[in-house]
Amino acid sequence: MVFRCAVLWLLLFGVPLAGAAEDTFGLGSGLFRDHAVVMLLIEPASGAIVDANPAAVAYYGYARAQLLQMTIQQINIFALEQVEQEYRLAAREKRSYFQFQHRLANGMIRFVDVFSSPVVVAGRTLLLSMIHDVESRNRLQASVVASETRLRFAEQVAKLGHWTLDLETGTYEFSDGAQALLGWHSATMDTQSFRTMIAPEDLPRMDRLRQAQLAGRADYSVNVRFKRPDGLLIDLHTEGRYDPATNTMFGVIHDMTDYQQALRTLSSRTVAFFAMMTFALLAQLGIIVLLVSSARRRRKAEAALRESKQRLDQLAQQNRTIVWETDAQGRYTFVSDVIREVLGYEPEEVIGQLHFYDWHPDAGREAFKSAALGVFARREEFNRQENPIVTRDGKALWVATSGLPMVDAQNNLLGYRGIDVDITDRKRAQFDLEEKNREIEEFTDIVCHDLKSPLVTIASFLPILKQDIAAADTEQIRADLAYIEGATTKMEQLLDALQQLCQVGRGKNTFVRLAPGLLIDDCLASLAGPLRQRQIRVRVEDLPLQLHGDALQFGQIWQNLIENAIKYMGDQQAPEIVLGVEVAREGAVFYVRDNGMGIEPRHAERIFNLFSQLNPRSDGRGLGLGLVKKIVERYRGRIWVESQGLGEGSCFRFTLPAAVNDQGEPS
Amino acid sequence: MKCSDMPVILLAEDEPAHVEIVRRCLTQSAVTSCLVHVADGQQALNYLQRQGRYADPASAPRPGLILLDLNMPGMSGLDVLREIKADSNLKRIPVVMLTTSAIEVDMVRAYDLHVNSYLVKQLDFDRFKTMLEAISQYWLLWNQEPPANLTNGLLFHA
Repeated sequence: MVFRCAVLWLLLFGVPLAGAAEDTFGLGSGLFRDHAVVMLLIEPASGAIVDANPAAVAYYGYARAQLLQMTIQQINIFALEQVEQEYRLAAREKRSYFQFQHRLANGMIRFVDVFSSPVVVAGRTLLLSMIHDVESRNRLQASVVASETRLRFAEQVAKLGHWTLDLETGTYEFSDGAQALLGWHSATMDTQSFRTMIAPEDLPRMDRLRQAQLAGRADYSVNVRFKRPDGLLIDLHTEGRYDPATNTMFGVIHDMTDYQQALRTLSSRTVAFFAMMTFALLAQLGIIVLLVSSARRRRKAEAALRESKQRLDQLAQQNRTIVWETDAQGRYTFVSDVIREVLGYEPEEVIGQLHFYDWHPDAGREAFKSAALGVFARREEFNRQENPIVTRDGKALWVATSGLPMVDAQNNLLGYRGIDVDITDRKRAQFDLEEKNREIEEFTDIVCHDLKSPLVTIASFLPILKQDIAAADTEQIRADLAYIEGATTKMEQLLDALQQLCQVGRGKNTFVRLAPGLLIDDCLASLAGPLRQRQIRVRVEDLPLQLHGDALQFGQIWQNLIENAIKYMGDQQAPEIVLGVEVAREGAVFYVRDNGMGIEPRHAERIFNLFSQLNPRSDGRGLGLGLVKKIVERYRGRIWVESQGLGEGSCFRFTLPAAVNDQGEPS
Repeated sequence: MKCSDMPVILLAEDEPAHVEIVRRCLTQSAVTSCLVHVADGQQALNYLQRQGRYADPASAPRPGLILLDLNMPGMSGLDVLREIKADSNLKRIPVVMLTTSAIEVDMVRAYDLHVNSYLVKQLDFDRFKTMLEAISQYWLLWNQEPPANLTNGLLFHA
């Protein structure tokens, strides 16, 4: 869209590409001063702000004098390397603008598109940046959806007009905004009268493009010179669409006179800037045309409406974004259909019936309600407030809510309009992360504890040993040394296990494809001693599949599970371990089953914590199973234990989707 | 083991080396006491409630101080502490945690269960010794404990 507009612009206007005087940009001109677009003039080397237009002053909330003391680095929250990264990204995506985040005087951070272009002012090369607030554009987009009132609102904001041309009768119909622009004080005009007001040399191009649009070959986007009834000549930009269902065309017009005049006197360099400046505007026009079309079609032909409305709806659905309006008491006066999917309510059940705070979970609802109504009373705008909500079937979700107050001419609050975006997935990820952090904290605590325990032994037995040497008590000396030796062994085991744990996820080892049966044979061979000693019977069932990944880590899974089974065999008279795989709904599920001590169901979750406190002194249970869990998760799997309770044996089950389905690298 | 005439310290500790360290410390201490060791939490409770092999009161003299390790297999030190403090017959015996863990949450849990003291095992043997000497001196020598069968200041006739 943007790119097409730029090309059109250049094609249609045939702008003077060569050499007017370079300082004609004229910062004193109305263009910079009066334009509603936020503009900053920046010294490229230092980033110092050389000038700011009133729109920039209003937008950032600093006085102009203050702004002129600042550098752009104080506004752009990106660090230097992030800025450079964005430059590269923009080049790669062939974007003519940069996506930054700017901090306003009130601390608020806004997402902005920045169009930058060098200009020469009084012999100095400066950077002219046009800042376009993407959030207000998005809000504008959301707020104009689907109703005529919203459309009028948008027209006022954007100083636009829209029109409909009935091709049967040859009659134009103009909106209030369009009438103001054209200086035409009637809602209708016939085609003939309209054509007489267009500059004759522009007519063929207009007709050609209209024919192309009617034939569905091209978008209707054209610039013409229009002579108003009061004699004023204006440059008009118009975009339109043809609706075959009603045999009408409809579209948007915008007065481009200022731009056109400026363009004619501009240097080639600044032309590029103006082309860019129109991008944002035209992109916005395009959105509005789409919305106009949606609104028009709805009124004229419900059936024909579906397609374009669906496009918008799909967009909102994909983002799970609910558009809403409430009255001053917070009761819904409008909600978009997406509510059905997100919350499970029909819009009719909500409009006029429910308040925004009714979605809030019971706990804390009153506090939320009074806080939110306080915001209403102060008519504050709010942005991405994260709230918990409960769906019709009781599911807990998180939404980010943004809203704008609607006031009448007397500044009475009419209500709020805004959007709710479902952010449950992101929230969940955040909670998972917090959970992981807690786990790591716990892990650190317990590692410290388990390293400290043998250290206490060593540190204490050294002086005891000295005493015993002095007393020449050989028997005690031998005992002391045994304790010290035991402690060092324990530390060594612990450090080994830690090292293994740290290596999971680093993926230094090469990936291979192999049958799990081979791995299990290796494990059993290395555990032959303890297995024989406890006279444990091992049965390996058929494992008819291949694993793809790090053989060493796969080996660690079975090694640790088998070791665990041996360790917790208890005083079982006929000890047995069974290894195998079965196919369940979620794919291949491996299992290691024993008839040993079993585990109390209430501990079944805890044993997989990186370091379980269930039995920390028996070197390894927590750490070993924590390691297994970490490896399993690396292959996008899960692990759990089933046991009827103490003395009933345990069955460890796990999945390795990324290794079995060969989905490439594990996460 | 003969503990007659000596105050008894019950130590619940699963790490044999640490048992030996405590034994050494107490042997070299100025306060005479008799150390009784159990290897896990369940045995500690069996001892205190005179269950199983401790059924004979003579085999299980009432301790003047209980030292509890925090992390033990099966019943943890905190589990034992909870049971002791819930048992009207045992709740006035001073219980001191003796652990390597200086983790806040462990301390909070222990204090919330009305532990009488919380000690962290020292890396330095001399400090370990000083600490145990001080704690046994305080609880066995200086601290006054009411008779076990006294409730609300009245003798309880059961």
